[in-house]
Amino acid sequence: MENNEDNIIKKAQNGDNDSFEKLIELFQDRAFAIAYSVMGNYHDSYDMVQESFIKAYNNIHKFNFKSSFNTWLFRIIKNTCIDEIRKRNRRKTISIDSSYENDDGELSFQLEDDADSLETILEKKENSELLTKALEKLSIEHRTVVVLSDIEGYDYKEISELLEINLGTVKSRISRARIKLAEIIRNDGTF
Amino acid sequence: MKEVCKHNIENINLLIDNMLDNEERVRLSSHISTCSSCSSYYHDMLTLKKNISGNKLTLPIDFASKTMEKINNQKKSKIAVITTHRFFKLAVSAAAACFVIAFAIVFLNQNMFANKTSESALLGSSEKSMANEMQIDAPVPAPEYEGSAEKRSQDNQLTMMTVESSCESIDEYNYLLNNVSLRTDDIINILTDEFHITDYQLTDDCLVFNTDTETYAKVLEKLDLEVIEEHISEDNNVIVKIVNNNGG
Repeated sequence: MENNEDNIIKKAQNGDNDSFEKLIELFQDRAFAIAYSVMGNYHDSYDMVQESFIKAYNNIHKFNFKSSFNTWLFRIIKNTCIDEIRKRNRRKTISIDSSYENDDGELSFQLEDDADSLETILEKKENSELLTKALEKLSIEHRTVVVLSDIEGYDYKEISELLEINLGTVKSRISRARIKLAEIIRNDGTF
Repeated sequence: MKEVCKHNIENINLLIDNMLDNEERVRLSSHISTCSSCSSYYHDMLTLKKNISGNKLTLPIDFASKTMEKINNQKKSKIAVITTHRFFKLAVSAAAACFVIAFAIVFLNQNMFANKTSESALLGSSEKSMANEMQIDAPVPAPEYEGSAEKRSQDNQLTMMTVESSCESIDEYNYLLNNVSLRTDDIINILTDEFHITDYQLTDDCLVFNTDTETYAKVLEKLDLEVIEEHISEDNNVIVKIVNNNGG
């Protein structure tokens, strides 16, 4: 039996605009999280999600149900965001992972003896504002896994499929991203 | 300075995300309870996850309706462009049809004048007069070819009417969109969605993508690409550079 989501997609493919609007409502927050993970700010992410939905609307007849709609939409959003970043010529060097690796290529994490715990810092500052700013400072690669994992609640396997990277990379990237995020919060939280 | 046990960094994150098996979870938990560095790292990561997950990213409730509004506006403006494009084609067709009809009239008149001259030599004056009257009254035959000018004109009018009233028909709309040049963004979507080409790079001037020759052949069947360069290697790999018309 076809699920409700497939029915809505089929109706949208047949030109039913109300169904496409329902699809937007169903996926808009997930779509926004994905755009946010790449763009790192609200305004750009909003524009990118809107542009991506317009592209999805224009190409919905090409969706063939071989993948999930989420995956299909994710790819459109990812490409839209990346193209926008390229257009603006502000692509940042992505990998800063090596700063957390020792000579053997293993991850390392050091804490100052008198460093406040993150809990203390986050209690001192306005959580939401501090985290938002910290997320903006993360590299695209790190922000993407943090947003997908910790905000959107995707599991490692789903992240691996969405980002087309292997499970091992997801594991290490999440560790590195959280270490980096903790470091940013620690630095910003004490300014 | 205290350092977290290297081999546990990744596993502590897996523990937080509930990705460890029972045996490993028990081992790591007992280690965390005795190692202060790993314990504070564990609590930091847990606090981080807890705080981030409370920061759900949401869009305003009117986002969907605003996006649909934008889609409808975009559709109307595209249809206007297509209608203009069609109108231009119609004008050219009409001008060509007029030229053909005018040419046919001139050609037929010349033939008739020649016939009239030869008939005049054979007929008497009254018959000549009758013949002249008949020729004057006789309708000029329309040139016959597949799809007469009249029919084509009707077709074009119908097409224009269809275009203007096709907002509700996605098939018609897509058909029309496929008849105007695709933007590079759309080409990228087709390359990634239909042909699973993920290896591409977009610059201000061009789009470069990398695929195998078989896929490339299929791409060419489907898309009318403005190819600048293409390099085919011995292992049937092809690098294609096409014009970026996003800005146009």
